[in-house]
Amino acid sequence: MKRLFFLLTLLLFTSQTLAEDVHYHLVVSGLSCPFCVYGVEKKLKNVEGVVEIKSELETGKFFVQVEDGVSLSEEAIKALVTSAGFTLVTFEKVTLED
Amino acid sequence: MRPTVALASLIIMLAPVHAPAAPITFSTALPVGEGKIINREQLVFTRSGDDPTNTGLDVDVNSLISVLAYGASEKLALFAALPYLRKELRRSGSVRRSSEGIGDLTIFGRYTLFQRDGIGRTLRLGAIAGIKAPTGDDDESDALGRLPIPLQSGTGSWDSFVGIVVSYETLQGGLHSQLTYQAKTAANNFEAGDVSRLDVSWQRRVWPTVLKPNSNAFVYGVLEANIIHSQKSTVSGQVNNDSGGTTVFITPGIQYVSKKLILEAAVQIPVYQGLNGTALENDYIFSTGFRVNY
Repeated sequence: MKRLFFLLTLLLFTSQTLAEDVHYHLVVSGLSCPFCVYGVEKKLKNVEGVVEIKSELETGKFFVQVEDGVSLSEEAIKALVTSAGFTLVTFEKVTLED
Repeated sequence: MRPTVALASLIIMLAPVHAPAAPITFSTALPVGEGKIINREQLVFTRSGDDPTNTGLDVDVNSLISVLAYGASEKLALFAALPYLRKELRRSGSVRRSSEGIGDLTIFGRYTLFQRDGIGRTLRLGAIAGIKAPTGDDDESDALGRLPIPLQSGTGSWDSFVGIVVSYETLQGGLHSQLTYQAKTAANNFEAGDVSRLDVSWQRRVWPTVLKPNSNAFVYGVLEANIIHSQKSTVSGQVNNDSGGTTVFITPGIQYVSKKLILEAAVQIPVYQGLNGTALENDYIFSTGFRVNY
């Protein structure tokens, strides 16, 4: 019985850790200083389901983490970046599994 | 209107509110995102004391300029600037006249005509147009009577202006330029001369010297040039030959830029003043302030 309980606990833990960890990697052009970056970050933060945003000004990269089950569309993100005054160069969905 | 006060009015009119690493003494073509609001508060101290008539005339204009910028779309940005002014005239140490109050409201728009983006750089061209409304008091008086026009907080006139602005900016710095023409109208039997203006700003990032992934704040060294030409004014239809002329400023400055805040300071030093007649020359214009990214 103890062994069965241990196996069930292990199975549950394993299934949780194997849950998809979805990120989106964006590259935005036209950014030339920190003030610009904030404009894009603010737009992305307002998207429902976005959990965290990290950015690299030098490369124009944004790393966007979303909640489980949330999906971002390239068209929607492109429209957001354009409305901020910049240009979306690449949009990539990255699924990490532990 | 004497050129120095006309210059102060123009500086207020075109108080830039722009966003990233923008010029300090004029506007820029860099974006204000759709729905975004930027607030700029700027203190400007204008000193004029080089009086060719040897009557010891000094004029100080201190102003707090509040500017709001709003991104109506990714291409159209709207701006409103309202100064609070304190003006003081001193003559030979004995006569002192002054005024204080809200000045004229300036509203203008900027439309992006061209945009070319790259990683860490952008090139933009925009057209600007706006009006200056006579919201300031233009009928102030003191114990000596009605204040002269340059000392009034407002001009009483509706003025308009158009221009183009171009910006090229990279992670290392930027180059910006603006060309504007302001048409004046008459009020109180006085019409200031139209003003043409060419501005150039060169900026260089001085800190951090090497970019890192977590670099979230820059410091720029700024060097600007302002060429301002005012036509002669008219009083009751008569041309005032002691008005108008050309002034060239060289403007060193410094700017701190983070994600939400810009701090800046600059001093406009006149290096050439080809003014007509006995027009009062400018000593310097010092400006400092901040911009907040909402």
